Amino acid sequence: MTANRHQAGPDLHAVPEPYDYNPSSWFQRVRVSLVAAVGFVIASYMALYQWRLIGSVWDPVFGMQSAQVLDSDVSHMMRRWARMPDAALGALAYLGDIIFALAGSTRRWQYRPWLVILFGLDVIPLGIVSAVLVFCQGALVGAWCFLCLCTAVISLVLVFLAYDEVWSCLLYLWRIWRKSRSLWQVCQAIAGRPSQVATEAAESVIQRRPTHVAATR
Amino acid sequence: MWPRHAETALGMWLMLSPFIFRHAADDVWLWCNDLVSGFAVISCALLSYLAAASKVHLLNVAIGLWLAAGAFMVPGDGVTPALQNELIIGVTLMMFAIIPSPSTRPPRAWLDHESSRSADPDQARA
Repeated sequence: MTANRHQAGPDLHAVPEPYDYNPSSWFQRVRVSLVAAVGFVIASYMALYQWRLIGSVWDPVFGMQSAQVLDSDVSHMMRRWARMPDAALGALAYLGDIIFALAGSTRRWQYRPWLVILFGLDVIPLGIVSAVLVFCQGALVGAWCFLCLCTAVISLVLVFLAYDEVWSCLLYLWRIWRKSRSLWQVCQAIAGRPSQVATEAAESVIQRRPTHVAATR
Repeated sequence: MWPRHAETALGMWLMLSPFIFRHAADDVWLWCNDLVSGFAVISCALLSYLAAASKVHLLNVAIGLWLAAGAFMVPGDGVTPALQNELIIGVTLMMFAIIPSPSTRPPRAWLDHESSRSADPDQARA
């Protein structure tokens, strides 16, 4: 009986404002996780060097400068603070991007906002800060690291690919706040608890488009 | 259920860690911590397959926090590979454990809410 009731189900390809595609679709999220996987492999490779599990680090542009960056005082300071090499910390952040990108349904901007916010926090502020730190390495360390610059670019690409879903989710939460003026209702919505206000807010956010068009994006 | 598979794999790695990182035979604390935590992680992950215990995987968040905290109990320069292993496993475990079990389906509460609305047109119009 329950299974039959669920067969009709909600429209999982609903397109939220302000986009003409579903930012929570599998296409969008698998794309993010693939890019993050590249970052994860590169960061893990650099962590292997910092653990001395490999003897050198590949750099076709700056040569030995990569090793200088990875063995710099700044890197050692980060290691003392984080209790692990900074490249391993980066690898964990990329792994988080992959995990949080792949979890949740294609309407998680409404059903699991906590997951989208967690995903956004992992991708956007952490990505921007790490990218800025890497781009500052020339001034801080006096040397450049090709693979570090690659990961910085990957972080910025991830920010670009991920911000739309976070924006739609925040827009949905903002509509709940405007309708209810209740922080409790917003917190309930973030936790993924259904309510009449949340349903109305979601309906106001969803774009009225033919389902087959939305499903193809 | 893929987060539970990953937690099980992490639990197995944790139980193998004393042999991989060659803990000293007299370091009973580290042996116990890895073996007991690993067993607990696997148990919580597998118990979550039962409908009645589907939220038990959240206990793995606490175990992950416990494992990660160990590395911060020693000075920054004294973190051994074994402690770094626990830290990395702990953080990874927390990331997986926070993901609900039917991770790619809408939550049951929302499915019930939507179907009750479609069954009751008055409520849907309200």
